[in-house]
Amino acid sequence: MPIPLPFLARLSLLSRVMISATLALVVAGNALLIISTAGDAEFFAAQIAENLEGELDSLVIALGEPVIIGDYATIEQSLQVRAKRADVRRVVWTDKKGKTVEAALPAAAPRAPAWFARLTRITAQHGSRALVIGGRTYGTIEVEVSATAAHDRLWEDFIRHLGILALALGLDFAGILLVLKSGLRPLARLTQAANDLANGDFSSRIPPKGSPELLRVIVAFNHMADATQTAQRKWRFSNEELHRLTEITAHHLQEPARRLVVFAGRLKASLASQTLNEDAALSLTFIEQQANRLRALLRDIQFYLAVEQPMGEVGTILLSEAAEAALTGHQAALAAAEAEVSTDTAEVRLHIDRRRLIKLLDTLLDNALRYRRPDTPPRIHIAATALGGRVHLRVADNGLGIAPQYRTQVFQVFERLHPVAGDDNTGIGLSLVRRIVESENGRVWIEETPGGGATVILDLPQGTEA
Amino acid sequence: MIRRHAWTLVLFAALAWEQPGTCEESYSFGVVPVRNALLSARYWNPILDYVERKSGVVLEFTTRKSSQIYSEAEAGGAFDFVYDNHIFAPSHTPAGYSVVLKPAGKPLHGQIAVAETSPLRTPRDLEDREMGFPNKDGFAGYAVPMAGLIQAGISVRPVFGGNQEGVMAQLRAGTIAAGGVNSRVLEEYGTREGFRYRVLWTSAPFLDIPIAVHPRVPKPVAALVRATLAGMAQDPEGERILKASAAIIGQEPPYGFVAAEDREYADQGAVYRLIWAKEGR
Repeated sequence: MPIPLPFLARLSLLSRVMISATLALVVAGNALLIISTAGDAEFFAAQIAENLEGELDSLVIALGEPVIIGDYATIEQSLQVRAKRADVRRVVWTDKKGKTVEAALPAAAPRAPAWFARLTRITAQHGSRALVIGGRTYGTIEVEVSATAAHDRLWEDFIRHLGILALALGLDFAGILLVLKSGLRPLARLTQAANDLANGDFSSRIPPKGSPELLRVIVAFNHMADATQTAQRKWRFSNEELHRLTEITAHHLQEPARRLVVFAGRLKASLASQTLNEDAALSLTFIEQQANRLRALLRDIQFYLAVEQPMGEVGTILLSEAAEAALTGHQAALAAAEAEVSTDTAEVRLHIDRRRLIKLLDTLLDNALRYRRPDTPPRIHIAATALGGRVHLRVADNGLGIAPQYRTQVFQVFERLHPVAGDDNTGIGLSLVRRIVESENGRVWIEETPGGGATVILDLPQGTEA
Repeated sequence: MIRRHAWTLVLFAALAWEQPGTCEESYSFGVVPVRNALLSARYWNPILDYVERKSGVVLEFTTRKSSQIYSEAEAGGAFDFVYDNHIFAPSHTPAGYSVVLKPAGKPLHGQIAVAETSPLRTPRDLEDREMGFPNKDGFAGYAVPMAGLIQAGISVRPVFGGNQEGVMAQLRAGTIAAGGVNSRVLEEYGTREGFRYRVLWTSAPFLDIPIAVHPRVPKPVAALVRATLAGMAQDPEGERILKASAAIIGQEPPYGFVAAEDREYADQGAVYRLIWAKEGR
């Protein structure tokens, strides 16, 4: 189910549970508080009316005798006793001649704030009752019952309930925090184990502890890790087998290929004094060429297999130096092609073995020269930048370029897109580049050079000592 | 009966014709607190309202906190009309109240009563015990039983309870050994409050508490009030009121008042004078 508020989706599960639980508690608690306070207010309002009636009824009885006797001292005393009651604000006796006896105590300061008192809608009530004895009216009793005591009692209840709500919120927070913190702890172990797995530690497992839901996830993870480890073992075994077979095959084919080249050369030399028909001469040339190609292919395959590991001492190398070395190796070809070469590698360094780094640059320079435009002098630019522990090495040319749909394909072994590559090209160059880069946990891809041509971009970790 | 009604109506008409102006003034109607004031007011107010409606004479029910206070006020002539027999005490003679009416029905007796569960069996058992009386001016509650005890040579320690029902409340609570009471009030109280008592001694019969008038009250007014009250029991409205009032205090029929004279109460004056003489008052 999607989360309705997008910002909630960015929060942790713990925060979301806390927010939703708090909202639920606050809303429900406040609703309860309002409803119960309103109910209490109704009750207190009714109680005030009831108290007023009760006071009037009992005053009629209490004042009957002193009124008949004309004992005003007792009347006054009775009224004062009533006026001291919490709810009663004022009591007045008025006889039939208009003589008045009144008792009223100064109102106590209300504890409830005025806004709260207004909200309760409880107001003071006033009532009067004629004192009639034996059908004769002796006067009138008036009573005013204050709402202050009711406001105060309601306010105290309100504060008490608010305190209980706050306590419930606090307990809710603490409970959720404790339950989720302890409940989600296995998730941290799961994260660690997943990272370990991603980093090649296939033995990483999580102890099956925690809530039933997490236990199911942990069991599934461990099961997945078991399956991955088994598959990885099988893959590594078959890969090693394949690697070894390829190595052995290449190694064993190297000697027949060498001999084939040698004997093709000797045969050509022996027959140099004889006039061969065209077909025989063509066949001999073809044998020599294919023998050379076979030898080159075997050499490249061996190199391809070997480049996954460092080929010499690993150290921090200035890219400008490596570029210089690679350019020196191609000096003649570059000069012949009237190539224009520029570098912008500044002080960028890379932690790698020198031979493979030069091989990388060498291959890319070779490709730039090989796939140049026939009528345009090649223009090659080598640039490097370092940022955030990564090095971006770019080798751009103005050659034939590579159509977007082939930019992945060209990194496969033996893939050649252009016939212009020549027979000495084994089609293993870019796959070699990819293998070296990936063995260093890097990436390689191709973009189009502005104005035409191809730019090969290598994204490599700078290395710990760089 | 018809003749009696006719006479009453004639008297009403004659008095109303002769003294139209007297109807405007109000007169105090003092009631001796034999009961608590509230109960007395509930009993008397409807009757006094009836008098006002029928005769135009406004009578204000008045009483005091205790019999003693009431009696002192009465002795000073504080009330225009009274419902009391303290007027026969020597101390009240100067006030000059004269009897105009007496209650219909049984005569009253002074009685000495104890709670039903009391171990006391005869007035002799009261020797040197605390005995409750309403107050020193009370007739049926003090003068009559005390006269009986004096004549029998029994000495008790008097305790005064303010009014007759106060004495009975004390008796009920067991704070006094016996009480001197008016037989009618005792009977009404016992019925109303469910108090079970036993009478140790009963006096000779005396007329019930009279209604008397002060000499300052104009004679036509006194006569009008007298006629109205005397005819009340014969008037259906008056009878209904009398019954309702009687129900309040538990009074038994017959209800209403009968015209009376001072001389009918001569025996009560004699009892008072005896006590006064014995007590050296």
